[in-house]
Amino acid sequence: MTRTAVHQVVPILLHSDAIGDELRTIRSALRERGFDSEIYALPQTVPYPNQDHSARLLDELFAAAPPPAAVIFHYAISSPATDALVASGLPVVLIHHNLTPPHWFHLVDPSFEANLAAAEAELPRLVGHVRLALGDSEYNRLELEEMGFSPTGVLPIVLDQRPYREHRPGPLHAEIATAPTLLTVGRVAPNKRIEDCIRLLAAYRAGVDPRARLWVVGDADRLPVYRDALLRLVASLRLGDAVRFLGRVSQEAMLDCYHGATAYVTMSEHEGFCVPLLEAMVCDLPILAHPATAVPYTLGDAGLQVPGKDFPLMAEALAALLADPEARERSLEAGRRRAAELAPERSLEHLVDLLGSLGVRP
Amino acid sequence: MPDEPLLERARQSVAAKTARGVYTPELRAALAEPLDMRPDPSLVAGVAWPEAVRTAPIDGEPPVDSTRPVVGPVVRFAKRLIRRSLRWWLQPVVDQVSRHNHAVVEVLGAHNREILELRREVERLRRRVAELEAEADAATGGSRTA
Repeated sequence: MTRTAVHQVVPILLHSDAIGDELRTIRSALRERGFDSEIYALPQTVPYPNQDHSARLLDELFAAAPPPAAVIFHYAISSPATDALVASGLPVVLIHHNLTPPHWFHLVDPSFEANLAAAEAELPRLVGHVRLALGDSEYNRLELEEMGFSPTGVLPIVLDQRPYREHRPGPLHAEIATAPTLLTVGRVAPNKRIEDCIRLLAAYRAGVDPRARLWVVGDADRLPVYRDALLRLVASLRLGDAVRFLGRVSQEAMLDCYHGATAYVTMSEHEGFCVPLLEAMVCDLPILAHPATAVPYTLGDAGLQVPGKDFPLMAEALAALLADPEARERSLEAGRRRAAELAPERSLEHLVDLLGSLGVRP
Repeated sequence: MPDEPLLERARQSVAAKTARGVYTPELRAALAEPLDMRPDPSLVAGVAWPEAVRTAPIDGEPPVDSTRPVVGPVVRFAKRLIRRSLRWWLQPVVDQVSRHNHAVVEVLGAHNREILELRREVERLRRRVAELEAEADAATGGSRTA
Protein backbone atom coordinates (compact mmCIF):
# COMPACT_ATOMS: atom_id res chain seq x y z
CA MET A 1 0.00 0.00 0.00
CA THR A 2 1.36 3.45 -0.91
CA ARG A 3 1.79 5.79 2.03
CA THR A 4 0.69 9.41 1.90
CA ALA A 5 3.67 11.49 0.84
CA VAL A 6 4.51 14.82 2.47
CA HIS A 7 7.84 16.05 1.18
CA GLN A 8 9.91 19.12 1.95
CA VAL A 9 11.75 21.47 -0.40
CA VAL A 10 14.65 23.75 0.43
CA PRO A 11 17.11 25.37 -2.01
CA ILE A 12 20.05 23.72 -0.23
CA LEU A 13 20.15 21.33 2.72
CA LEU A 14 22.97 22.01 5.18
CA HIS A 15 24.36 20.48 8.36
CA SER A 16 24.99 22.78 11.38
CA ASP A 17 22.16 24.99 10.20
CA ALA A 18 18.93 25.80 12.05
CA ILE A 19 16.74 25.37 8.97
CA GLY A 20 18.55 22.18 7.93
CA ASP A 21 18.11 20.75 11.44
CA GLU A 22 14.41 21.57 11.30
CA LEU A 23 13.95 19.83 7.94
CA ARG A 24 15.64 16.66 9.20
CA THR A 25 13.55 16.64 12.39
CA ILE A 26 10.31 17.14 10.44
CA ARG A 27 11.29 14.37 8.00
CA SER A 28 11.88 11.93 10.89
CA ALA A 29 8.66 12.97 12.64
CA LEU A 30 6.55 12.58 9.50
CA ARG A 31 8.04 9.14 8.82
CA GLU A 32 7.36 8.09 12.42
CA ARG A 33 3.75 9.15 11.97
CA GLY A 34 3.29 7.00 8.89
CA PHE A 35 3.97 9.46 6.09
CA ASP A 36 6.36 8.93 3.24
CA SER A 37 8.74 11.90 3.55
CA GLU A 38 11.83 13.06 1.70
CA ILE A 39 13.74 16.32 1.35
CA TYR A 40 14.35 17.79 -2.11
CA ALA A 41 16.90 20.47 -2.97
CA LEU A 42 18.42 22.16 -6.00
CA PRO A 43 21.56 20.76 -7.63
CA GLN A 44 24.65 22.69 -6.50
CA THR A 45 27.37 23.54 -9.00
CA VAL A 46 29.77 24.29 -6.13
CA PRO A 47 29.20 21.90 -3.20
CA TYR A 48 29.09 23.48 0.26
CA PRO A 49 31.45 22.03 2.89
CA ASN A 50 28.53 21.37 5.25
CA GLN A 51 26.09 20.23 2.56
CA ASP A 52 23.80 17.35 3.57
CA HIS A 53 23.69 14.94 0.66
CA SER A 54 20.65 13.08 1.97
CA ALA A 55 18.47 15.49 -0.03
CA ARG A 56 17.16 14.34 -3.40
CA LEU A 57 17.18 16.51 -6.51
CA LEU A 58 14.14 18.75 -6.94
CA ASP A 59 13.45 17.48 -10.48
CA GLU A 60 12.78 14.01 -9.01
CA LEU A 61 9.92 15.48 -6.97
CA PHE A 62 8.17 16.74 -10.09
CA ALA A 63 8.52 13.31 -11.71
CA ALA A 64 7.16 11.45 -8.67
CA ALA A 65 4.04 9.33 -9.21
CA PRO A 66 1.64 9.58 -7.55
CA PRO A 67 2.32 13.21 -6.67
CA PRO A 68 2.75 14.06 -2.98
CA ALA A 69 -0.27 15.10 -0.90
CA ALA A 70 1.66 18.17 0.28
CA VAL A 71 5.02 19.82 -0.23
CA ILE A 72 6.44 21.87 2.64
CA PHE A 73 8.54 24.66 1.15
CA HIS A 74 11.04 26.34 3.47
CA TYR A 75 11.62 29.91 2.33
CA ALA A 76 14.67 31.91 3.41
CA ILE A 77 16.43 32.88 0.16
CA SER A 78 15.63 33.54 -3.48
CA SER A 79 16.08 30.51 -5.72
CA PRO A 80 14.70 28.87 -8.88
CA ALA A 81 12.84 26.45 -6.58
CA THR A 82 10.12 29.08 -6.00
CA ASP A 83 9.02 29.45 -9.61
CA ALA A 84 9.47 25.71 -10.22
CA LEU A 85 7.07 24.91 -7.38
CA VAL A 86 4.54 27.49 -8.61
CA ALA A 87 4.70 26.02 -12.11
CA SER A 88 4.36 22.45 -10.79
CA GLY A 89 0.91 23.07 -9.34
CA LEU A 90 1.78 20.82 -6.37
CA PRO A 91 -0.06 21.54 -3.09
CA VAL A 92 2.46 23.72 -1.26
CA VAL A 93 2.63 24.53 2.46
CA LEU A 94 4.96 27.47 2.90
CA ILE A 95 7.18 27.93 5.96
CA HIS A 96 8.52 31.47 5.99
CA HIS A 97 11.77 31.73 7.94
CA ASN A 98 11.98 35.47 7.40
CA LEU A 99 14.18 37.63 5.20
CA THR A 100 16.65 40.07 6.67
CA PRO A 101 16.04 43.46 4.99
CA PRO A 102 18.70 43.81 2.26
CA HIS A 103 19.91 47.22 3.45
CA TRP A 104 21.73 45.56 6.37
CA PHE A 105 24.18 44.09 3.86
CA HIS A 106 24.70 47.23 1.80
CA LEU A 107 28.42 47.65 1.05
CA VAL A 108 29.13 44.64 3.23
CA ASP A 109 27.98 41.76 1.04
CA PRO A 110 26.53 43.03 -2.27
CA SER A 111 25.67 39.58 -3.62
CA PHE A 112 23.72 38.63 -0.48
CA GLU A 113 22.06 42.05 -0.53
CA ALA A 114 20.97 41.36 -4.12
CA ASN A 115 19.70 37.86 -3.23
CA LEU A 116 17.65 39.24 -0.33
CA ALA A 117 16.17 41.96 -2.56
CA ALA A 118 15.28 39.28 -5.13
CA ALA A 119 13.80 37.13 -2.36
CA GLU A 120 11.65 40.04 -1.16
CA ALA A 121 10.25 40.43 -4.67
CA GLU A 122 9.89 36.67 -5.15
CA LEU A 123 8.02 35.68 -1.99
CA PRO A 124 4.76 37.51 -2.81
CA ARG A 125 4.63 35.57 -6.10
CA LEU A 126 3.64 32.55 -4.00
CA VAL A 127 0.42 34.26 -2.90
CA GLY A 128 -2.49 32.23 -4.31
CA HIS A 129 -0.23 29.25 -4.95
CA VAL A 130 0.07 27.86 -1.42
CA ARG A 131 -2.59 26.05 0.56
CA LEU A 132 -1.24 27.28 3.87
CA ALA A 133 1.42 29.84 4.79
CA LEU A 134 3.24 29.36 8.09
CA GLY A 135 5.66 31.67 9.84
CA ASP A 136 8.02 30.30 12.47
CA SER A 137 6.98 33.18 14.70
CA GLU A 138 3.94 35.40 15.04
CA TYR A 139 6.11 38.19 13.67
CA ASN A 140 6.68 36.19 10.47
CA ARG A 141 3.00 35.23 10.28
CA LEU A 142 2.02 38.89 10.41
CA GLU A 143 4.42 39.58 7.54
CA LEU A 144 2.78 36.81 5.51
CA GLU A 145 -0.66 38.21 6.23
CA GLU A 146 0.47 41.66 5.15
CA MET A 147 1.71 40.19 1.86
CA GLY A 148 -1.73 38.72 1.20
CA PHE A 149 -1.20 35.07 2.13
CA SER A 150 -4.25 33.24 3.47
CA PRO A 151 -4.75 31.12 5.49
CA THR A 152 -1.73 31.70 7.72
CA GLY A 153 -0.47 30.12 10.90
CA VAL A 154 2.54 29.82 13.20
CA LEU A 155 4.80 26.80 13.39
CA PRO A 156 7.54 27.57 15.93
CA ILE A 157 10.95 26.45 14.75
CA VAL A 158 11.52 22.82 15.61
CA LEU A 159 14.57 22.54 17.87
CA ASP A 160 15.51 19.26 19.54
CA GLN A 161 16.04 20.44 23.11
CA ARG A 162 17.45 17.19 24.51
CA PRO A 163 21.14 17.77 23.69
CA TYR A 164 20.91 21.13 25.47
CA ARG A 165 19.48 19.57 28.63
CA GLU A 166 21.65 16.44 28.65
CA HIS A 167 24.96 18.22 28.00
CA ARG A 168 27.98 17.24 30.09
CA PRO A 169 30.45 20.14 30.59
CA GLY A 170 33.52 20.01 28.35
CA PRO A 171 36.84 21.92 28.38
CA LEU A 172 35.36 25.22 27.17
CA HIS A 173 32.88 25.22 30.07
CA ALA A 174 35.69 25.52 32.60
CA GLU A 175 37.30 28.30 30.56
CA ILE A 176 34.17 30.40 30.12
CA ALA A 177 33.29 30.06 33.79
CA THR A 178 36.57 31.63 34.96
CA ALA A 179 35.19 35.19 34.58
CA PRO A 180 31.76 36.79 34.19
CA THR A 181 31.01 36.28 30.52
CA LEU A 182 28.28 37.70 28.34
CA LEU A 183 27.49 35.41 25.45
CA THR A 184 25.99 36.11 22.05
CA VAL A 185 25.51 33.46 19.38
CA GLY A 186 24.81 33.76 15.68
CA ARG A 187 26.24 34.79 12.35
CA VAL A 188 28.37 37.91 12.78
CA ALA A 189 26.21 40.10 10.56
CA PRO A 190 25.25 43.79 10.72
CA ASN A 191 21.57 43.19 11.61
CA LYS A 192 22.73 41.31 14.75
CA ARG A 193 24.31 44.55 15.98
CA ILE A 194 27.30 42.86 17.57
CA GLU A 195 28.72 46.37 17.98
CA ASP A 196 25.98 47.07 20.52
CA CYS A 197 26.92 43.93 22.47
CA ILE A 198 30.48 45.31 22.54
CA ARG A 199 29.22 48.71 23.73
CA LEU A 200 27.13 46.97 26.38
CA LEU A 201 30.25 45.15 27.57
CA ALA A 202 32.15 48.44 27.76
CA ALA A 203 29.41 49.93 29.94
CA TYR A 204 29.21 46.77 32.06
CA ARG A 205 32.96 46.79 32.69
CA ALA A 206 32.93 50.49 33.52
CA GLY A 207 29.99 50.38 35.91
CA VAL A 208 29.49 46.82 37.14
CA ASP A 209 32.41 44.44 36.79
CA PRO A 210 35.78 45.25 35.16
CA ARG A 211 36.50 41.51 34.75
CA ALA A 212 33.52 40.97 32.44
CA ARG A 213 34.03 39.56 28.95
CA LEU A 214 32.01 39.09 25.78
CA TRP A 215 32.19 35.85 23.82
CA VAL A 216 30.82 35.92 20.29
CA VAL A 217 30.04 32.49 18.86
CA GLY A 218 29.32 32.37 15.12
CA ASP A 219 30.92 32.75 11.72
CA ALA A 220 32.88 36.01 11.79
CA ASP A 221 34.82 35.55 8.56
CA ARG A 222 32.05 35.71 5.96
CA LEU A 223 31.71 39.50 6.23
CA PRO A 224 35.24 40.84 6.73
CA VAL A 225 34.20 44.50 6.30
CA TYR A 226 31.85 44.18 9.28
CA ARG A 227 34.23 42.02 11.34
CA ASP A 228 37.10 44.48 10.85
CA ALA A 229 34.86 47.37 11.93
CA LEU A 230 33.98 45.42 15.09
CA LEU A 231 37.67 44.82 15.80
CA ARG A 232 38.34 48.56 15.42
CA LEU A 233 35.51 49.25 17.90
CA VAL A 234 36.99 46.77 20.38
CA ALA A 235 40.31 48.58 20.10
CA SER A 236 38.83 52.07 20.37
CA LEU A 237 36.90 51.10 23.51
CA ARG A 238 40.13 49.56 24.88
CA LEU A 239 38.49 46.20 25.46
CA GLY A 240 41.41 44.16 24.13
CA ASP A 241 40.96 40.46 24.72
CA ALA A 242 37.80 40.99 26.78
CA VAL A 243 35.98 40.38 23.49
CA ARG A 244 36.59 37.00 21.93
CA PHE A 245 35.33 35.89 18.53
CA LEU A 246 35.14 32.11 18.61
CA GLY A 247 33.89 31.66 15.03
CA ARG A 248 31.89 28.58 14.14
CA VAL A 249 32.23 25.98 16.89
CA SER A 250 31.08 22.40 17.41
CA GLN A 251 27.75 21.83 19.10
CA GLU A 252 29.61 20.53 22.17
CA ALA A 253 31.61 23.77 22.42
CA MET A 254 28.50 25.87 21.89
CA LEU A 255 26.69 24.02 24.67
CA ASP A 256 29.68 24.60 26.95
CA CYS A 257 29.27 28.30 26.26
CA TYR A 258 25.54 28.28 26.99
CA HIS A 259 26.04 26.35 30.22
CA GLY A 260 29.07 28.29 31.44
CA ALA A 261 28.22 31.89 30.52
CA THR A 262 26.86 34.45 32.96
CA ALA A 263 24.16 35.81 30.67
CA TYR A 264 22.99 35.70 27.08
CA VAL A 265 22.74 39.07 25.34
CA THR A 266 21.21 40.05 22.01
CA MET A 267 21.04 43.54 20.60
CA SER A 268 19.78 42.35 17.22
CA GLU A 269 17.62 44.70 15.19
CA HIS A 270 16.16 42.02 12.96
CA GLU A 271 15.22 38.43 13.78
CA GLY A 272 12.63 36.11 12.30
CA PHE A 273 12.71 33.86 15.37
CA CYS A 274 16.18 33.97 17.03
CA VAL A 275 16.99 30.35 17.84
CA PRO A 276 19.79 31.28 20.32
CA LEU A 277 17.16 32.78 22.63
CA LEU A 278 15.39 29.42 22.78
CA GLU A 279 18.73 27.67 23.28
CA ALA A 280 19.57 30.04 26.16
CA MET A 281 16.17 29.46 27.75
CA VAL A 282 16.61 25.69 27.54
CA CYS A 283 20.07 26.06 29.14
CA ASP A 284 18.72 28.17 32.02
CA LEU A 285 20.82 31.18 31.06
CA PRO A 286 19.63 34.66 32.09
CA ILE A 287 18.83 36.78 29.03
CA LEU A 288 19.13 40.47 28.28
CA ALA A 289 17.51 41.39 24.97
CA HIS A 290 16.72 44.37 22.82
CA PRO A 291 13.04 43.75 22.00
CA ALA A 292 13.10 44.13 18.20
CA THR A 293 11.09 42.29 15.49
CA ALA A 294 10.50 38.63 16.50
CA VAL A 295 12.46 38.78 19.77
CA PRO A 296 9.47 39.63 22.04
CA TYR A 297 7.39 36.89 20.37
CA THR A 298 10.08 34.27 20.95
CA LEU A 299 10.77 35.31 24.53
CA GLY A 300 7.20 35.86 25.67
CA ASP A 301 7.46 36.71 29.38
CA ALA A 302 11.01 35.40 29.59
CA GLY A 303 14.26 37.33 29.57
CA LEU A 304 14.91 40.90 30.53
CA GLN A 305 13.85 43.03 27.57
CA VAL A 306 15.13 46.59 27.74
CA PRO A 307 13.91 48.90 24.98
CA GLY A 308 16.20 51.64 23.68
CA LYS A 309 19.91 51.24 23.64
CA ASP A 310 21.04 53.06 26.73
CA PHE A 311 24.02 50.83 27.44
CA PRO A 312 24.71 51.95 31.04
CA LEU A 313 21.03 51.35 31.80
CA MET A 314 21.16 47.92 30.15
CA ALA A 315 24.34 47.07 32.07
CA GLU A 316 22.79 48.08 35.39
CA ALA A 317 19.55 46.25 34.58
CA LEU A 318 21.50 43.07 33.84
CA ALA A 319 23.54 43.49 37.03
CA ALA A 320 20.31 43.99 39.02
CA LEU A 321 18.83 40.84 37.50
CA LEU A 322 21.91 38.76 38.26
CA ALA A 323 22.21 40.09 41.81
CA ASP A 324 18.56 39.55 42.73
CA PRO A 325 17.95 35.80 43.28
CA GLU A 326 14.17 36.19 43.15
CA ALA A 327 14.09 38.24 39.95
CA ARG A 328 16.64 35.91 38.38
CA GLU A 329 14.64 32.79 39.26
CA ARG A 330 11.43 34.42 38.03
CA SER A 331 13.09 35.17 34.72
CA LEU A 332 14.59 31.68 34.39
CA GLU A 333 11.27 30.03 35.29
CA ALA A 334 9.53 32.11 32.60
CA GLY A 335 12.23 30.89 30.19
CA ARG A 336 11.60 27.25 31.13
CA ARG A 337 7.86 27.71 30.58
CA ARG A 338 8.46 29.36 27.22
CA ALA A 339 10.90 26.63 26.16
CA ALA A 340 8.24 24.04 27.09
CA GLU A 341 5.72 25.90 24.92
CA LEU A 342 8.23 25.78 22.07
CA ALA A 343 9.03 22.08 22.58
CA PRO A 344 9.54 20.27 19.26
CA GLU A 345 6.91 17.62 20.09
CA ARG A 346 4.29 20.36 20.30
CA SER A 347 5.39 21.98 17.04
CA LEU A 348 5.41 18.63 15.25
CA GLU A 349 1.96 17.68 16.55
CA HIS A 350 0.75 21.10 15.46
CA LEU A 351 2.20 20.52 11.98
CA VAL A 352 0.43 17.16 11.70
CA ASP A 353 -2.84 18.81 12.85
CA LEU A 354 -2.39 21.56 10.26
CA LEU A 355 -1.80 18.96 7.54
CA GLY A 356 -4.90 17.14 8.77
CA SER A 357 -6.90 20.35 8.44
CA LEU A 358 -5.92 20.30 4.75
CA GLY A 359 -7.13 16.70 4.45
CA VAL A 360 -3.58 15.33 4.44
CA ARG A 361 -3.39 12.32 6.75
CA PRO A 362 -1.13 9.25 6.90
CA MET B 1 9.34 41.69 29.14
CA PRO B 2 10.43 44.94 30.79
CA ASP B 3 10.59 44.38 34.56
CA GLU B 4 9.65 47.89 35.74
CA PRO B 5 10.79 47.63 39.41
CA LEU B 6 14.11 46.20 38.26
CA LEU B 7 14.49 48.85 35.57
CA GLU B 8 13.73 51.54 38.12
CA ARG B 9 16.52 50.20 40.35
CA ALA B 10 18.80 50.20 37.31
CA ARG B 11 17.91 53.83 36.52
CA GLN B 12 18.73 54.85 40.08
CA SER B 13 21.98 52.99 39.91
CA VAL B 14 22.91 54.71 36.64
CA ALA B 15 22.07 58.12 38.16
CA ALA B 16 24.17 57.42 41.26
CA LYS B 17 27.13 56.15 39.25
CA THR B 18 26.88 59.04 36.80
CA ALA B 19 27.05 61.42 39.78
CA ARG B 20 30.12 59.54 41.05
CA GLY B 21 31.81 59.90 37.67
CA VAL B 22 31.58 56.22 36.68
CA TYR B 23 29.44 56.73 33.61
CA THR B 24 31.26 59.79 32.33
CA PRO B 25 30.21 61.94 29.35
CA GLU B 26 33.40 60.70 27.63
CA LEU B 27 32.31 57.08 28.05
CA ARG B 28 28.82 57.86 26.75
CA ALA B 29 30.34 59.70 23.78
CA ALA B 30 32.60 56.73 23.03
CA LEU B 31 29.60 54.38 23.20
CA ALA B 32 27.69 56.62 20.79
CA GLU B 33 30.46 56.67 18.17
CA PRO B 34 29.15 55.15 14.92
CA LEU B 35 30.73 51.91 13.80
CA ASP B 36 33.74 52.66 11.62
CA MET B 37 32.84 50.56 8.58
CA ARG B 38 35.45 50.73 5.82
CA PRO B 39 34.05 48.88 2.86
CA ASP B 40 36.44 48.09 0.07
CA PRO B 41 36.13 50.75 -2.66
CA SER B 42 35.43 47.91 -5.09
CA LEU B 43 32.03 47.51 -3.41
CA VAL B 44 31.08 50.94 -4.78
CA ALA B 45 32.59 50.39 -8.21
CA GLY B 46 31.05 46.96 -8.64
CA VAL B 47 32.47 43.71 -9.91
CA ALA B 48 34.43 45.36 -12.76
CA TRP B 49 36.73 47.16 -10.29
CA PRO B 50 39.26 44.35 -9.71
CA GLU B 51 39.54 43.90 -13.48
CA ALA B 52 40.12 47.66 -13.93
CA VAL B 53 42.93 47.53 -11.36
CA ARG B 54 44.43 44.36 -12.80
CA THR B 55 44.55 45.63 -16.40
CA ALA B 56 45.71 49.20 -15.66
CA PRO B 57 49.38 48.51 -16.45
CA ILE B 58 49.81 47.75 -20.15
CA ASP B 59 52.25 45.02 -21.01
CA GLY B 60 54.25 46.18 -24.05
CA GLU B 61 55.81 42.76 -24.49
CA PRO B 62 53.22 40.00 -24.18
CA PRO B 63 54.53 36.45 -24.76
CA VAL B 64 55.49 35.74 -28.36
CA ASP B 65 54.03 32.43 -29.44
CA SER B 66 52.99 30.36 -32.41
CA THR B 67 51.87 26.74 -32.27
CA ARG B 68 51.69 26.28 -36.03
CA PRO B 69 53.63 23.19 -37.13
CA VAL B 70 56.84 23.60 -39.09
CA VAL B 71 56.54 27.40 -39.60
CA GLY B 72 56.01 28.09 -35.87
CA PRO B 73 59.67 28.95 -35.09
CA VAL B 74 59.82 31.22 -38.15
CA VAL B 75 56.63 33.05 -37.11
CA ARG B 76 57.97 33.51 -33.57
CA PHE B 77 61.23 34.86 -34.90
CA ALA B 78 59.40 37.29 -37.24
CA LYS B 79 57.18 38.53 -34.40
CA ARG B 80 60.18 39.14 -32.15
CA LEU B 81 61.94 40.97 -34.96
CA ILE B 82 58.97 43.25 -35.67
CA ARG B 83 58.49 43.95 -31.99
CA ARG B 84 62.16 44.82 -31.49
CA SER B 85 62.13 47.12 -34.52
CA LEU B 86 59.05 48.99 -33.23
CA ARG B 87 60.05 49.16 -29.55
CA TRP B 88 61.52 52.70 -29.92
CA TRP B 89 58.04 53.88 -30.91
CA LEU B 90 55.62 51.61 -28.99
CA GLN B 91 57.26 51.49 -25.55
CA PRO B 92 56.84 55.23 -24.77
CA VAL B 93 53.19 54.98 -25.91
CA VAL B 94 52.63 51.90 -23.69
CA ASP B 95 54.28 53.69 -20.75
CA GLN B 96 52.11 56.76 -21.25
CA VAL B 97 48.88 54.69 -21.43
CA SER B 98 49.90 52.78 -18.28
CA ARG B 99 50.58 56.03 -16.41
CA HIS B 100 47.24 57.37 -17.55
CA ASN B 101 45.41 54.17 -16.48
CA HIS B 102 47.07 54.26 -13.06
CA ALA B 103 46.02 57.89 -12.64
CA VAL B 104 42.43 57.08 -13.64
CA VAL B 105 42.27 54.13 -11.22
CA GLU B 106 43.71 56.37 -8.49
CA VAL B 107 41.08 59.05 -9.13
CA LEU B 108 38.26 56.50 -9.25
CA GLY B 109 39.51 54.92 -6.02
CA ALA B 110 39.47 58.35 -4.35
CA HIS B 111 35.94 58.92 -5.65
CA ASN B 112 34.85 55.53 -4.35
CA ARG B 113 36.23 56.32 -0.91
CA GLU B 114 34.54 59.74 -1.00
CA ILE B 115 31.20 58.15 -1.97
CA LEU B 116 31.53 55.71 0.93
CA GLU B 117 32.26 58.56 3.33
CA LEU B 118 29.24 60.47 2.06
CA ARG B 119 27.01 57.41 2.41
CA ARG B 120 28.16 56.95 5.99
CA GLU B 121 27.49 60.63 6.68
CA VAL B 122 24.01 60.31 5.15
CA GLU B 123 23.38 57.28 7.35
CA ARG B 124 24.56 59.18 10.43
CA LEU B 125 22.30 62.12 9.56
CA ARG B 126 19.36 59.78 8.94
CA ARG B 127 19.83 58.31 12.41
CA ARG B 128 20.06 61.79 13.92
CA VAL B 129 16.86 62.89 12.16
CA ALA B 130 15.10 59.77 13.46
CA GLU B 131 16.31 60.56 17.00
CA LEU B 132 15.15 64.18 16.72
CA GLU B 133 11.78 63.06 15.35
CA ALA B 134 11.41 60.62 18.24
CA GLU B 135 12.28 63.40 20.70
CA ALA B 136 9.80 65.73 19.00
CA ASP B 137 7.11 63.04 19.15
CA ALA B 138 7.79 62.49 22.83
CA ALA B 139 7.66 66.23 23.52
CA THR B 140 4.43 66.79 21.61
CA GLY B 141 2.71 63.54 22.55
CA GLY B 142 2.92 62.30 18.99
CA SER B 143 1.11 65.30 17.46
CA ARG B 144 4.03 66.41 15.29
CA THR B 145 3.03 67.21 11.72
CA ALA B 146 5.09 67.20 8.52
